[in-house]
Amino acid sequence: MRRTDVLAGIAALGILASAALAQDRQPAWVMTPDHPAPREIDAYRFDGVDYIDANEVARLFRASKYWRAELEKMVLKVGDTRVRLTVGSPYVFVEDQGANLFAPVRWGDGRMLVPVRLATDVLDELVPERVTWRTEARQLRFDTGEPNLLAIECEERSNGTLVEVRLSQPLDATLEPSNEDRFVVVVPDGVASDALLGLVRGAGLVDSVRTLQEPGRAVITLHLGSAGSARLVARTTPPRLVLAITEGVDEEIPAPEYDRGVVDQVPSVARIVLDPGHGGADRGARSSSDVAEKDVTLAIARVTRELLRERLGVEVELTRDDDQFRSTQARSETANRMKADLFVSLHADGWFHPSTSGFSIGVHRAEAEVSVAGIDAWGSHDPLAHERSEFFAELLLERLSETLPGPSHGVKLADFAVLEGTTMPSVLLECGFLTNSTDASNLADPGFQKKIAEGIVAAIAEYRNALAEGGGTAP
Amino acid sequence: MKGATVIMLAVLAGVAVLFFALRRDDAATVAPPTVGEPTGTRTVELFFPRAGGGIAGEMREVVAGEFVEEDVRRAIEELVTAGESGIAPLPPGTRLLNVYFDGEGEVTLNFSSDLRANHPGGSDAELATIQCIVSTLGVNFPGVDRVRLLVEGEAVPTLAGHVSLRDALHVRDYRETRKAE
Repeated sequence: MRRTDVLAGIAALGILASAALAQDRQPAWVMTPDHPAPREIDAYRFDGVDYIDANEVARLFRASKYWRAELEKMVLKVGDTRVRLTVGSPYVFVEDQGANLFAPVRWGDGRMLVPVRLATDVLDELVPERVTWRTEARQLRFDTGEPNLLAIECEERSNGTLVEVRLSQPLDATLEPSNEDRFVVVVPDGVASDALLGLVRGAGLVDSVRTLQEPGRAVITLHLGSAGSARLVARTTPPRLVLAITEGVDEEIPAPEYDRGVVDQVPSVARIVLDPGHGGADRGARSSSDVAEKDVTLAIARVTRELLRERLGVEVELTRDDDQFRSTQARSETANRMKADLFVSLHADGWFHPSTSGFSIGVHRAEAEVSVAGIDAWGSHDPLAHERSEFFAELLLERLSETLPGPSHGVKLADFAVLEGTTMPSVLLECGFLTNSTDASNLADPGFQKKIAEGIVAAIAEYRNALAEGGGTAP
Repeated sequence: MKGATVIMLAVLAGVAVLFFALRRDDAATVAPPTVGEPTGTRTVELFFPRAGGGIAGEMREVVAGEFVEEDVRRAIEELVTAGESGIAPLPPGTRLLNVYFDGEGEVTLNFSSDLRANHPGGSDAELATIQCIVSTLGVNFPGVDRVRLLVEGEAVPTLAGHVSLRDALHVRDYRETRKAE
């Protein structure tokens, strides 16, 4: 009986304590560009003033925390600015400037709690986002500015699905490499309207569209019911992004637009330089069965050379025809000296996990070329060559998609060393992953190497025809 | 026995009243939590390669130092240990030897030779390593807009034969491509 009494007493005390805490704890929701969906955080109300955990504030503002227990002071360092808080005081100091929160910083629930006003009136000034507190909804919002992504519409067509993103102003966007049943469009400087955020139902080939707001950009993900292909076109009148989704290649679907105003600058495609990556002591990526990238690339280059000569009658040069090391600069200089019309650097990829397989194409980043134009003789900096590089890369992806098992990882833009000095359209082809056992086995197989070569030859033939017929860079 | 029960409940009620009184009158008398080290902590978003390709950010709490160079070192050295994907973007044994800020937005990281010698190779893996380094700095250290990589104090053309390190890497060019998942 006595034991029962003690237990009953402890239970009663627990209930009373919990009830007291619950009285002050009132959940709130935070909405940031990274996580536009409301995320619940602990919040408290004391004497009519809303408080949140100082640790949560530090996380939201990406601040460093410095805590001096003996003085009960905390310093939040937001960027280079220090904000000093003292338990029991409503005054905070932003560097040397004082600010009044009109309610003291305090302890509660075993945490240091700060008035919400600290976020909206003080720290708000230290970050690019506008920070607001909606009392009734109990929402702390971080907004990036006026929306410029207004609406997304999916329209089913007889030969595919068109996805149109309506904009308030022209914006650039990129179609990021992704899975065949998922396409990701990144819109730098994009600010999605509230109505767009989250997941909405699609139409036709598109099951759903998810829009997320991230710092400095909007990200639109299209989920398809099955594998498909996508092309992205930015249009200016009216401003919009158009994505054409097909189950296969369909000429009626709008293709990327290229500048056709430079007809007279389009020569033939008569001289091609193939670059077998790595060589000598530089073995490149390796498979678990010790297949070396340098050997695979040389084999593919040789068979491609034969097919190009045989089928297209073009002049072909290799940057190396044996197992020797050559610097990236020496390779591109070979192509420049040859006055090549096209440069294809051949590689086999590697990844940290064996499950990744497939092929991709690298194109040198355009901005890097422009940034050194006219200053450094090293490098082409020719916008037309860059456009044609991207155009050829798209053709090559399409042709390889027909001949290789894939998946395609799309086009990567980076400062590729072997491409940065070339003066002609140039790409870096990653034929497969040596870190994937199936890909590695394929890459070492002469039959598979010939398939790759056939894809390259078909793409070059199409590229040559496109230039000859249109005079520009459009397909 | 009944009397004992009554006394017990009375004592508990007294304790509860005392609890409220203390809590309401002076919040500061509640014991401070055991937060932080004397030097503080910092929540950072670190970037790691994903198993299926691409990279993704993860939040981690790391010790914060008095100088930003220390913070950079701690953040970058976290990249030697695997993320949630089980993958580390920096090869085993890689050490960050020095960190320099030029005061104009460029930070130079000087790594040990392990960064090149132990790298698995392939342009995707090489690009991911660079993206993870650059993105971790770009996201967590406002003001950093260029990153220059050195190995054992020397400029190197590439890490694994593909991505040029001739110039400093612009954060805007190599910031990770976070997928909307």
